Amino acid sequence: MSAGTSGTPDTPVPSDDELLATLGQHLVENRSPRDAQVTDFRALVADHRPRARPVSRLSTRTRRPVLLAAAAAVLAVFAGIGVLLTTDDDEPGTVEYAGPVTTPDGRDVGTLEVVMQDIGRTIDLETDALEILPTGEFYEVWFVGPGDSVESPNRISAGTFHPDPDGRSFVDFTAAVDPAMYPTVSVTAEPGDGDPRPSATEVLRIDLGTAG
Amino acid sequence: MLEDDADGSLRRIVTAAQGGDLDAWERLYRRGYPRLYAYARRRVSDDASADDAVSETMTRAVLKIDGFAWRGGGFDAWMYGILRNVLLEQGRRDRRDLPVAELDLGTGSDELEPHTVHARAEEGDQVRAAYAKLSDDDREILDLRVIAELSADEVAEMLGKKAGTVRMAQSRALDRLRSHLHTVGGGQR
Repeated sequence: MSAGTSGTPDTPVPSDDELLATLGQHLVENRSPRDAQVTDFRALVADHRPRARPVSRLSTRTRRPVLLAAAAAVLAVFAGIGVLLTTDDDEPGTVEYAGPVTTPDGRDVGTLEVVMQDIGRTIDLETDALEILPTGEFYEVWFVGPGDSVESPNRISAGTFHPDPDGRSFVDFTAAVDPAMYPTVSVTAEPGDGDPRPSATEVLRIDLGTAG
Repeated sequence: MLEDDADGSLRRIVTAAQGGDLDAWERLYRRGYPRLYAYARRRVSDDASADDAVSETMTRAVLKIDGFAWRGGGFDAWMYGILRNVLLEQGRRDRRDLPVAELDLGTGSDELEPHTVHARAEEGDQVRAAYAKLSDDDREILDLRVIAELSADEVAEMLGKKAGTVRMAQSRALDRLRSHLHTVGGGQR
C-alpha cells in the first residue's frame, strides 16, 4: 500500500475521508451485468408491470354487461363504438371501444375494451391467439398517434405482457393519454433487445378514432 | 449511491419505474448492479451466489416498488435493505455461505508472486487484509458507507440506529482499520 495508507512512521496517518476513498478503490469490483442478465430482467419486469392482471383474478371477474352487448355488434379491426356508461369496478367511464379484435386477415383473436376514466385510458385485452414468444421476448401495447412511423414514432407504450403457458393473454393497462392525440391501439411483438422503440412486428391494430 | 440523485434524475427514473417503464428499470438495474454485487459478493462464497442475491433483490424491488415512497433513506437505502434481507435468508438456507471474515475478498492477489506485485496491488492486499481483521459490525458499517455509498443517515435508517451513532461507529471502525493497516503494512515488519 502506499505507506500513506498504512501510516508507517515515515508517512502521515490518513484521514477518515482518505481512508474511505482508499477502501472504495480496493473493495469495489467494477462489474456490470451481462447482456443476458439485463434481457432476463427486462422480461421479469414486463411480467410484473403495474396493473397486470393475474389470470385467476380475471377469470373470476364479472364481465361488464355493456361489453357483451357491444360484442354483439361484432366490431372488426379499425372500427369501434363510443358509449357513455358505467363500467364494472364502479368506475364511470366512456367506452371508446368494446368488441372483438380481429387481425388484418380477418381472424377473430379475442376481445378488447378501451375505456376513458378519470385516471386515464384503460385497455382490457383478452386473446388466446397470440403465440407464446421465446424467452426474453414480449408483446407491447401502444397508443398510436397520427403520422406514426418507424422513422418518426408518435406513440406511447401502455405496457407489455406475455401470454400464459396455455397461450392466453389477459392484460389490463392504464395510460394517461389524450384519445384525440392517440386514437389507435397497436400490439407489437418485441425482441427484448433493450431497444425501447417499437419493433416492426405488429400483431394487432385497432383504430379507436372511427368510433361513433 | 448515485451521482444522478443530486439533480433529481434518480427520482424521475424511479417514478418511471413505478409506472412500469422497462427502460427505467433497466437503468436502475445497470446503475445499481456493480455495488449491489460487490456488497453481496463480500457476504457469500461464490460469484454465482452473489449474482443470485442481486437478481432476487431486483425481483423483489420490482414486486414491491409500489410500496416505495421517498422518505428517510431514499431509494438506495431501500434497495440495500432488500439485499440485506435476501442475504440473511440465503445464508440461512445455504450452509456453504461463509462468514465475511473467511471470505476470499477476491482481487486475484493470490495469483501474484509477492516480489512482482506492484505498489497498487500491494496496497490493495494490505487494505483487504486489514479490513478482514475488522469485526462484522465494523465491516457492515463501512460496507454500507463505502460499497453502497449510503449516507450516515441512510445507514442509520437501515440499521435502526441514530445517525450520530452510525458516525461514531464508523469513526471507531476506521480507527481500528488504521491500526490493522499499520500492523499489516509495516508496523510489524
